[in-house]
Amino acid sequence: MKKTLFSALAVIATVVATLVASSACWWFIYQPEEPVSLQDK
Amino acid sequence: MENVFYRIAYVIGSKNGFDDERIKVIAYGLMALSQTIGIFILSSVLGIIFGCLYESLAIFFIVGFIRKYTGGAHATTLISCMIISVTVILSMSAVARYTFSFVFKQLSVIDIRIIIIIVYVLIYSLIFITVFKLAPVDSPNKPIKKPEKIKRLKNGSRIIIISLFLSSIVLVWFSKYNYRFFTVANSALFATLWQTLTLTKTGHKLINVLDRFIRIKKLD
Repeated sequence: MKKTLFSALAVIATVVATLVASSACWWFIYQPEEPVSLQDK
Repeated sequence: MENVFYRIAYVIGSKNGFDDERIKVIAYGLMALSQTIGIFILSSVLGIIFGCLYESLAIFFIVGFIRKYTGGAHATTLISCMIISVTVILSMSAVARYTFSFVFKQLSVIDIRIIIIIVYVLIYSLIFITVFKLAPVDSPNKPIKKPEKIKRLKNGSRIIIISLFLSSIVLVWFSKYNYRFFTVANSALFATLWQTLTLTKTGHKLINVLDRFIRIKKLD
């Protein structure tokens, strides 16, 4: 149960991170350093 | 506070056998999610308390949506961002809700909607020129280098501003039947103005001053 919850959370967080990566910045005025794998170089 | 998300991501990652990079991506996603949900809940609750829920929700969604295309000035911490965002959303929605009712009292004299639409055309023209020149504004933590991405964001921000302008005109026109259409149109205007301000040097200075004030007061 715990493992399923962690896996679901990991999937949701990864999807959100990927969606955010395609935009100019986050929803509001804080922008932490973007992970290298999400950067578009 | 950011460390809390890295710790949660580390726990999730270690249970699933993820590498460091994947853990960073999860922490990044969790922070984005919590920031958005946190500001949404605070704005909604305060909006209900102060009787300006529609206005605060309109500002929340419009600022967030425009920002995804235009970028803009940033605060240095998550808490600082939440304090500034919620304060700005609530102030603008209260002004949009309560300070323009006198305008509508003039309806019996002339159709004030025509004057409001002319004012909207002037303000949105200034907004469009500023966004056209400056967007997208990136940050050191998320530089935007790819020309295709810059072009996509620039085009997206123009389409959003034009759509907001047209929607606001429609809302103002039908506000004769419901005053809240006008207050929501004003909220859209304020949200767009605020977001445009954060693209400019003045906006960057303003966010820096607010951010420093919050850090000095140790609110974060």
